[in-house]
Amino acid sequence: MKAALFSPMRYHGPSNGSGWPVASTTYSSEVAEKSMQSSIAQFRLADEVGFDWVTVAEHHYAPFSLNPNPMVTAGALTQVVRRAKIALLGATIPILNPVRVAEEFAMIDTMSGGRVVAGMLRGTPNEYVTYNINPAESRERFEEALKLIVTAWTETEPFGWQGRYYEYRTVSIWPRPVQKPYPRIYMSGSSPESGEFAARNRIGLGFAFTNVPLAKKAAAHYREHAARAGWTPTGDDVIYRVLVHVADSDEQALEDITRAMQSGPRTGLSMANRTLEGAVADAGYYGRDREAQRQRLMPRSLQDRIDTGQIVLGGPDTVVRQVETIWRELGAGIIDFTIAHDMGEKTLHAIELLGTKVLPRMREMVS
Amino acid sequence: MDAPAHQVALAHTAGSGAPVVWLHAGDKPAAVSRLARHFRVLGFTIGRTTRIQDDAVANAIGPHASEPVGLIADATSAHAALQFAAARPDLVRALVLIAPPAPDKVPGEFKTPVMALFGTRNAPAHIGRSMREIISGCHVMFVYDTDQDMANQRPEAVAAILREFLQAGDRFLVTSKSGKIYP
Repeated sequence: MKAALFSPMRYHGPSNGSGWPVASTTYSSEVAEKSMQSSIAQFRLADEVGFDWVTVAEHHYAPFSLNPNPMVTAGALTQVVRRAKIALLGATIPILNPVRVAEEFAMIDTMSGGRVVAGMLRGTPNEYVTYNINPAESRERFEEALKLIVTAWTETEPFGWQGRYYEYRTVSIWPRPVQKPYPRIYMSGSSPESGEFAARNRIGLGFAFTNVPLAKKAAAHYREHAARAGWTPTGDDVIYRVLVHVADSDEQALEDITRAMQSGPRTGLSMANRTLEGAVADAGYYGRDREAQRQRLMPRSLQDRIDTGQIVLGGPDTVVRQVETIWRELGAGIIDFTIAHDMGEKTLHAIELLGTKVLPRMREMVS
Repeated sequence: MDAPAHQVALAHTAGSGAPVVWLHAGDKPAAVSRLARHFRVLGFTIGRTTRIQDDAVANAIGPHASEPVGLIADATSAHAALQFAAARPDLVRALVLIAPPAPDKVPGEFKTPVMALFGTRNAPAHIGRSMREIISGCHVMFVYDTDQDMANQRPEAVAAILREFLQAGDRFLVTSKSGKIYP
């Protein structure tokens, strides 16, 4: 098994209410800089204690994440994280310029000496408002953008593109990806349509903003369609992103997280604006499994989240058992540990515990 | 209309303006009517063959070429069209090849602007390199979610790129479309 550390790069200062988008009237550049440096320190530590990947992701217009362009963060990490792979999970490609995405991934792959992991996502529903993109076209845009990005990575002569959503008269990117033929691609796979597309195209699948029962069903669907396409996904083809806090004991971990949760509201991005989310849902964003897809984004109690594998919490032994359940249920070979709450030294200690007490046992688990 | 093997026959004409000759197997492509809004399109069908004779294009175009034409050729006529455009640059304003096989040698220096369209469903690997090794200035264009039948599968997209290229030649790289949303 492999372990990744994901930090959304949260803003550590106060902000005006929840919802989405969030006004920046209380924004402090000093706090933002410290927040970013805090995340970079966590990534550096993760690299030092043996994590396989560090993970960044794109989110807009809210203090939940100071990472509207994860390519920029990944560029900085190439100079800080010396060993681990740098995973972008991901770029929200339907709302971006695909050629620019191809160029930026190639830059990061070059700057990191071939360590980039290319997550290509449709993103959370709210992101379609960010750059005024119709969510009804999300899936079609995604599929075309991905094809264009791979073509830009592999075609060595200048080419044009006459698409449905993208049109270029000549493309010839420099630099080129280091990894050949191109970096490993993952996409989000909670919906049946995504799992089928990933299976047909031999793309790795990532689960986030979900829980183990739902992800188990989606992973089985992916494997079934991969078999139809003539291949068998391995553990390395499935990523499960899970919130985490580890302390020296179960009691300490629970006390830490409870205290952190009381310090302020934490609203998930996707459901932070119900009107907006409803409009996106009505546009057909979720596909044919709409209600299940919406349910996975609903806020739940801490205990429910622990029980359904949305968060792993406890001392190292407990966390190992929780991870083992994820592996057994999903066959997810890559666990993308997400810092549940930034708690300064406690979070750094959690990363150390993960690296020294949990990761070695995760590797034994599969080998 | 089916023409005899190795022959090219005028099958349809439409539109007005600068002449465009479209060599195709089978029925009239759906993109023709859209292209005919901007050009006089002369459609020639090709008999049952995988590759027409090199002189067939000259024989077909000759009587209609009162001025240089835009020439569009599918896979079966691509080789002949290339040979013709290389030999008679005075008669071909611009050449478009639809899903052509990788070309063999082209005689002499190729001066006519040329574009090759490939569908993303079945474009051969490294086709850009194959095309440009023989015709260094060839514009390789991928038409998304199509194969060699792209002119029927996505007629709007194919007609649009044909129009731009046949009107502007190599200068089609610079768009003249406005990005302004509202005045």
